[in-house]
Amino acid sequence: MKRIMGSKNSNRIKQGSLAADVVIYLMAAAFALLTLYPMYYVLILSVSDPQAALTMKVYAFPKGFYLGGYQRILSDSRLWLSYRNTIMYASVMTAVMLTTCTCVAYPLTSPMLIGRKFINMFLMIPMYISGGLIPTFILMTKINLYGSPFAVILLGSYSIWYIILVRSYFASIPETLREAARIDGANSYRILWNIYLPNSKPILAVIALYTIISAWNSWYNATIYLPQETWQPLQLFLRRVLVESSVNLAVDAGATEAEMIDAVRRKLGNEQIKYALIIVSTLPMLVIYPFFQKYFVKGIMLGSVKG
Amino acid sequence: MQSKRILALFLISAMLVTMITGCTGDSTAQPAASPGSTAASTTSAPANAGNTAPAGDIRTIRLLGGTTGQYDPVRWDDREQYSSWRLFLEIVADYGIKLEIEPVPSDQLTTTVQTRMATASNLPDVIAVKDIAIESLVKFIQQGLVIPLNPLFEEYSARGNSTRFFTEIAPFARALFSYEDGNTYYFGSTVQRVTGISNGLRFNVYAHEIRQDWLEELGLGFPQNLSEYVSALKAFQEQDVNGNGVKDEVVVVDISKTGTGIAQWFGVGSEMFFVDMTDNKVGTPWHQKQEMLLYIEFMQELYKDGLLDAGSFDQQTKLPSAAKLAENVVSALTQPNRNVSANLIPVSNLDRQVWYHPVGPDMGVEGVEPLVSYSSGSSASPDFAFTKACTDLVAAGRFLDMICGPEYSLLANKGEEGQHWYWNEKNFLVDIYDDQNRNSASNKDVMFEKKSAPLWAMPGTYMLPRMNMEEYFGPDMILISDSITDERYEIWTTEINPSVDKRGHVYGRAVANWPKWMLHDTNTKELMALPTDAQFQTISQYSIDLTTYAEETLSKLIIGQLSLDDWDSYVSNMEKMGLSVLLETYQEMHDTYRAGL
Repeated sequence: MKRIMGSKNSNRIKQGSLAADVVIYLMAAAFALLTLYPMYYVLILSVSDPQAALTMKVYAFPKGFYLGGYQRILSDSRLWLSYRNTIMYASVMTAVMLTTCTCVAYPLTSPMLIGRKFINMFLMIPMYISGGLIPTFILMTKINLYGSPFAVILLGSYSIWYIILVRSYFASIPETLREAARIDGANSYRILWNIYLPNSKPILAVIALYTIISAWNSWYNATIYLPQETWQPLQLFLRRVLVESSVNLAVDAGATEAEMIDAVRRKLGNEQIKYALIIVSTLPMLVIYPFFQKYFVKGIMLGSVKG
Repeated sequence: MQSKRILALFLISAMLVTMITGCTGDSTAQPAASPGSTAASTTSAPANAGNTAPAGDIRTIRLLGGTTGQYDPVRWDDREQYSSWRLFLEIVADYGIKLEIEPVPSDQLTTTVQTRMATASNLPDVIAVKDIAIESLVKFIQQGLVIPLNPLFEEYSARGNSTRFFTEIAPFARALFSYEDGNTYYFGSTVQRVTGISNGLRFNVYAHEIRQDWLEELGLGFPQNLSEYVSALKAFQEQDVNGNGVKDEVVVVDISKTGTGIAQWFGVGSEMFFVDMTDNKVGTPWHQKQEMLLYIEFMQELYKDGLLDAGSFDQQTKLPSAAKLAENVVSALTQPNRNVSANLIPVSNLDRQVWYHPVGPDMGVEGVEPLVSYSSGSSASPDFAFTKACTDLVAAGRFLDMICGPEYSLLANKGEEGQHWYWNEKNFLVDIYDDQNRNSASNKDVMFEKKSAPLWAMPGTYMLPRMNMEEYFGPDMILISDSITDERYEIWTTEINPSVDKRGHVYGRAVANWPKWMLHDTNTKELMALPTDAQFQTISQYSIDLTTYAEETLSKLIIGQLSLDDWDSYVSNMEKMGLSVLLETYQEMHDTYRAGL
């Protein structure tokens, strides 16, 4: 009691020292600044005057005001088409992913499944050994999915890792619930729909979220399997804008001065397209993230704490 | 446990077997054409198809290409609105062809082509292989994925255009893309210069250029020698000609390479391996000790005096970085493979007229002969090929004939008659400029107003080749000569292109008429045949490491990190890394190219 009440001791920091609080807050603020400032920097560069942005003379606030980069991107009708495609891919792939995960994981949790261990082992092998791009491309071509959006959907709609996650989560649901439902006359489908799925919302939310983010950022499969723009996703379109905006200033010497000045203006304006692209492509994710943050955290923690 | 291991091994084996099975096989029904053989088995078409397409005999050609060109003035989706596109379709129909185009965005074209060629699936008849590496193009030949052009222009040339093209007009196009089996496999955008001039200049001269408006502002004369050049650079800094209060006016060139324009004042070759056009020998700057030492010492002085910026060169654009240009600090630069004229270069203040004027090549360096580095202008690029899926050689022959013909050439390069050009009374092809002095064939606003554009602008050279055949642009202009006479220049600037700004022409004409100095070509690849397997292996083995070492050594020498006293050791290292071996290899490739002309 005397030690706690009166004297200075080494436990003072643990007991809420003001100095410690200040240090901790300062460190947290510094880390927050390190994390947030690059994003803020991109934002102010994207709306600053092209010359100021090009010469990197923008630091804390925008210099001048220029929306040419956004105008170039947003005025292109292909942007909205690709937004539509990406939303379609995200929603369809998420639905299919959840379906495949639950439908594969559910029977694997049944102790009565014949060959369950064998199937579990069989599932693990493709996780480590994959055919690669060429065999997959040949397969997609042979089943006439080349050029079809289903090529992108199919390839992004299953994940053995997610199946294992769901299976593990299903395994944590007491088996007695299944037995009780059987006694009450429920079949396997009823048990899945009425018992396992309602109790698995956290894991399904996590998988849905990761799938949406993956679909939002995906472009590779579209590059390989979608040669036409009709079904191409957002990231591929944004990449194209960036490539097309690379103005070659070494144009024909027969060009007039007006043509050269026009090329210059486009060049300077196009430099900012990179920054506008970053904002356009990440803004939706930034907006929805706060609503799903807890699921992110839960997803990371899944499987790490037992008992 | 043992049984589980056996089961696991069995599963792995089964998966590997199925994987290998899936990788083999060909989804296309056409037989392969191997190198060295003539084209793949044909359809029932006869060997000689006649001079014109029989009525009703329309053959289909499937073409896969990119939808955007280099400058993309007209969008692919808008092509139907343009009269020149309808004219193109008429030409296609006239040759008895039905063209089925599979458009792919140009940024995606390389990936699409590589995957389709790698799997030999979904191959069209004609495929755009622009931007595909030479190594891959050679592999396509070795794997029989592309068919030779020789039967097409030797037997299936409906109107003789392709025969004449590959044998008389542009034999270099055949020589450049011939493989060791003697067949030609690729065709593409071709430039044929008969008169040796373009806009009155020997074009594509590699020149170092200085800010002309700054010289005028300071009342300085145009530098005629090294001393005046350095004085001008120092004056730019000391008098703060850009007015920003900082002495930051600098020269920006790629110090890792010898293609700075400045190096040529000292007689140094402009590339790691260059061709001396006077004796057709392939050389390297690293065997030009005297010239290189003089050049590097000069550059070291520039760097020490703060007149040279060693880190602001953009490898992609081959110009100073956009940021540097925007800061308005670049006092001199080098234009990569440019028509020699005073060029407008973008700087921060867009309202000013900014010109960089060529300097040299004779800057009075004692003891050495300067170089004039230029491209002859006759060139071709391997942009397209017929794949093994193309079995209708009659259709292929017609398509190639059309591409090589005058109607297509004029439409592809110059545009529509009456819209972009016309024949004058002396039978010269004259460009049309509007009342605002805008070239109707290159200004996209005019193209949009007229709803007519040359094919290179719509859809672009990733879809159809640009055939810039001077042969077709004015029969009376064809004069077999290497010099640019005053008479011809006068005709060009007064009758052909009177609107072209002539500020830089003085230099270009003077350069063009300096045959006494050693000439070499800036585009070495334009003078090399396709590598054989052995040559390809040699280049792959030595090229990258040697080039990296050479560029690093040159950069460090200029900024003073390495000493010139150890020159021999640097060259010795390069010899160990294959310098002379590569020299011999490129010589063989050049000799092969010349033999095919």
